[in-house]
Amino acid sequence: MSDEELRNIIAVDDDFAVRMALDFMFKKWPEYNLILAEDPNDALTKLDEREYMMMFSDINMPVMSGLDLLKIVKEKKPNLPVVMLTSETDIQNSITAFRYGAMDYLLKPPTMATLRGAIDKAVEYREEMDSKQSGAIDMEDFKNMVENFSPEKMGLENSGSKSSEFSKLVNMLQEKLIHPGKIGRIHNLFLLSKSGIVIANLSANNVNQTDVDILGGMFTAVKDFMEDAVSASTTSSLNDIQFGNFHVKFASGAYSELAVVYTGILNQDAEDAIMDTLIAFEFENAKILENWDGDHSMLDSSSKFLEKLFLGIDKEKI
Amino acid sequence: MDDFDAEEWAEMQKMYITHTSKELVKIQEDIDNVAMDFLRTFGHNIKGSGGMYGFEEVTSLGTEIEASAKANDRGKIKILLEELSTFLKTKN
Repeated sequence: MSDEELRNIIAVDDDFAVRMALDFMFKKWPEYNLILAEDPNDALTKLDEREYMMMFSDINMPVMSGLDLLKIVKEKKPNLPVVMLTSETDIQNSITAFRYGAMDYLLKPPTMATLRGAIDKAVEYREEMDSKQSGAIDMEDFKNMVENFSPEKMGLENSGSKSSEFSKLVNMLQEKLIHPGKIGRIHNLFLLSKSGIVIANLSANNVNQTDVDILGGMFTAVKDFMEDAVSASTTSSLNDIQFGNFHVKFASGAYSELAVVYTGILNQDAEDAIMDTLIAFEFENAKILENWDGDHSMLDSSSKFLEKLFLGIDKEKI
Repeated sequence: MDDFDAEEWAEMQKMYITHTSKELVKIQEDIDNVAMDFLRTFGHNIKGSGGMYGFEEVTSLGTEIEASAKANDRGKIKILLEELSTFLKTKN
């Protein structure tokens, strides 16, 4: 977000007196630009007109409640911090608000310190999000690069066989991942050694064994590329890369990697399940993995971890 | 509120009293016909806003008006609105 956009805060309340009180309060904070909306429809219109750093919303409003507004806003702008500002003391409302993704739930009348605390919390959250984004690879650029990859254009024509291998990998990426298949679910799970050998895989798509072997090396190459680009700035243990409608999420263990090809959005529970699966797999097979030479018979129980993960995530309905 | 100087605070309170008094007069003029849900919303609103202008008494009356509207007790609401009217006049 630009500095200008970071200043915009929208507050939605059908009560004129509350809007005016907020207006008075925000005059004490000239670093922020308060935009007032008198009902949820007005808020939705204003949210489309510019970017906002955060939103305050009342709950009890005519036509549409603040909770319904919250749900819509979080679907459209999942990173927008929303703080409910309400006289509703019903615990069910606060539970619903948090379930819909509210950052905080403040009771009226708020003190200026309470409001300021909520703003500072939202600023902190936005800065964290911006920091993550600036540390991450630009996925659109990467997708364009993969789609338009040419060793000649990139000056790699004289770099030997590695450029043609990489071309092959990119072609596979384009064929398998950029052109979308089914949407909204896990498509493939790959358990890989650090050197890119596929230990086990589980596929919801038609991927033959040759493809699997190539995909294993490909994932390792892509992940290495991605880690170089991202460097140490990412705080997440799971790296995510997007190709068209597909994502590949990587979990890194001490001896192996777990690559999950999916469409839609993975929730936190699914991310945790991926990491837990890798940890459980390595824990059970640590001695073998330490010196694994590619003999699959030594790790024949590995498929059960993927099956369990597949079923678990499927139940989560990502 | 400590964050405002006396002049700012007075301006805020004056605006609030004027606004709420106008709303109240409109309601009292037709109190027997005003929809109970409207009265509940009015009570709910002043419950939330009164304290923002330093009027805890308004917040308290708003809480009672909202509860009385939920109980469909128009008689009690009339009394509470009268109390609110008296309070606002003393601050005007």
